[in-house]
Amino acid sequence: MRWRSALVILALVSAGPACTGGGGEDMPVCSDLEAQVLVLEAQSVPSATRLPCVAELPPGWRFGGSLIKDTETTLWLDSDRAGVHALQVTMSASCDISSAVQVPPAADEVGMTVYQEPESLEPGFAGRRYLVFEGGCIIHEYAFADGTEPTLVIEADLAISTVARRDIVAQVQDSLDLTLCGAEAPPCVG
Amino acid sequence: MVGYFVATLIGVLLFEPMARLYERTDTSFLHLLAEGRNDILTEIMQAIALLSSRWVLRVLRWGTIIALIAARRWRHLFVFLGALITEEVVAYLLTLVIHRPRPLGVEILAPWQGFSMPSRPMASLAVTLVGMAYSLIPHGRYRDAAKWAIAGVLVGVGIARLYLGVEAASACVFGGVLGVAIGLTAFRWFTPNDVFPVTYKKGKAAHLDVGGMRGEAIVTAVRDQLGYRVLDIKPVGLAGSGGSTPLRLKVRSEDGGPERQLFAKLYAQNHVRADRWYKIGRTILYGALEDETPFGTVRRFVEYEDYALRLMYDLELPVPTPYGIVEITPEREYMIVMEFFDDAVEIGEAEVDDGVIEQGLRLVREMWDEGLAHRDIKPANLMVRDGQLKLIDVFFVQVRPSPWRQAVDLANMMMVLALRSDAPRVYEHAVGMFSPDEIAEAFAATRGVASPTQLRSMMKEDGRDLLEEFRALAPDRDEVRIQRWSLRRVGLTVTALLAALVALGLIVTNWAVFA
Repeated sequence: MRWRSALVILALVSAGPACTGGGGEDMPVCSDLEAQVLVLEAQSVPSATRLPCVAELPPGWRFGGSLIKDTETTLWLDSDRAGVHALQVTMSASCDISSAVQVPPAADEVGMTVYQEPESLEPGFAGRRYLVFEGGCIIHEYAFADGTEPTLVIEADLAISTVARRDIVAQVQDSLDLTLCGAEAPPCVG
Repeated sequence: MVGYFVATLIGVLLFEPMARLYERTDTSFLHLLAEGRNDILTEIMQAIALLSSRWVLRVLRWGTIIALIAARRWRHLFVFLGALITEEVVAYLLTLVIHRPRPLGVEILAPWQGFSMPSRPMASLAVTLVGMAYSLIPHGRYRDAAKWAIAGVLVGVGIARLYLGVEAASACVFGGVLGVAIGLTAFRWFTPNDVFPVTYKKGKAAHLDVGGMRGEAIVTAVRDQLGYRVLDIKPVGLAGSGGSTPLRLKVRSEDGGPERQLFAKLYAQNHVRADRWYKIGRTILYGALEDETPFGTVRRFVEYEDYALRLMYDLELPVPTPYGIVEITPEREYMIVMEFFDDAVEIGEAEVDDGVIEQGLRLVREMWDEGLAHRDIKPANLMVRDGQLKLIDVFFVQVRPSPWRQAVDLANMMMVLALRSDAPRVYEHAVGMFSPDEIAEAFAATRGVASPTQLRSMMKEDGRDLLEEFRALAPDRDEVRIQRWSLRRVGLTVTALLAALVALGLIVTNWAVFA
């Protein structure tokens, strides 16, 4: 029985951190349209025509984790300067932009309406950026550690981009000959 | 069980190369179900699917945990917790390995989170229900019925989840199979029914079931090895015995002699393990009070008791006549057989007159003189028959013990005798065989763990402070310290603390499993 106990303890100890670290699904990489995590994102908000993904992680930033469920998708990034969970990106069907102001979209935000809502500069930068598009909304929530330069927002925004849902729909159609129903695809059955 | 794991392995290995086939087959089936949806059926299916919701699982899991704590069924509790954590971790990691999205082409009508294969809600529900069945329901008819009920619930919830389009059929089956496999494996490995039966009768976990195949094996072994035909096997004195399964055997010799009763103690590997943990616990709590070296095998275990019994019998101490060792399963289960004291009663229920007091004290005196200590003098181990005192259970006997250990035997014997009489009377007899200084030393050395649990609880029930009464009668003597420190004790204590911290850490980091 000793080896059994040792095996179980080893399994638990080695598996324990798996539950605590980061968490959630794979990292959605914008250039990897075959990634199943993008299909899952598309299923989480079927009306959304754009899906958040990681374009390029600047030095000092890393993918923290994600939580994809039936009403929204959440990704977060950690930074060696701005801290853990410095940027959280949430996609949902709609969002409240009543206290935000419209700003011009960035190069990779063409076709979307962009709003910003700065909350504080001191002691740590905090604020929100809303990307509103047909069928959905993506919120970038910044929560930097105390004393962090607000200019890190530029790095954070470089890390996150979006892909078109129609590209994922086409990818599923090509690879499985099946329909990823929802926006820009035939309606779902049922 | 092997089948379950083979199915799991096949599921993992074949999914990637056969993803297209899985998806197309599953999607066709889900389309059929989705096309047949209507409002009433959808509401019914959503209600059924609630059985796999986090809230229902929380209620079931916490209910089971509380029930197991209330029943003080610690081993089942830890196995239940371990199975839950293992299932949650394994199912979660598998979803990340397989990374299968939700079903394609159908509207999903139930909440979901993360990748779909294996179905985590199905796995969670399955392991919870299996754990409940194996930790709360006694083996037999009721558990068999529960297994069918669990199968029914899992099939029902699975169909509901398919109807709602939240998972594909293969993911649903995979989740259910995984949960059942982990639950079954955990409980069959760590709480085998014949060793750790779920029972609501009073008794101790160490007691083995002596019915069924084990009962038959005992009958055969006693006939072949001792030459007696076993007519009846009956567990006796379970309440006073935690380290073995005591039995009364009704036998008749093969040559047709009269019926007689024999006493037997059945030992298995779990008794060796229990003894090992007991000794580690004693070392951590009190240091090396005495020889705490554990036995390596059950064979050594039973050989030692047989040796001790024969030694005391040869010295004409009032112990049962030894009949020998019976091998039930080589290296796994043995039974020591000895005389059964017919019509004897435990000293706690017997009349203790001057004769019995005298015999008890003389017994200790003789053990002192022969260089022995019994180490477990308590009411359950002292029997009285026709005014004659008998000593049983010699498993803890030590040859050439320390003076401290011998002193403790004396104090424990005097307290047992005083429980059915009074301290001055016992003391008066004792000074006839021991010097006042020896008695004073005995009571200076005896406190707390030095007395068996049964004796301590009977003294508590009695209400009289017998220990202080004896101390008042004997000459003044400083207490003998029983705490002993050693590197081994420090090492064991640190290891135990670290193990407790790891266990606590696992529970805290996996709190989502329960909360």
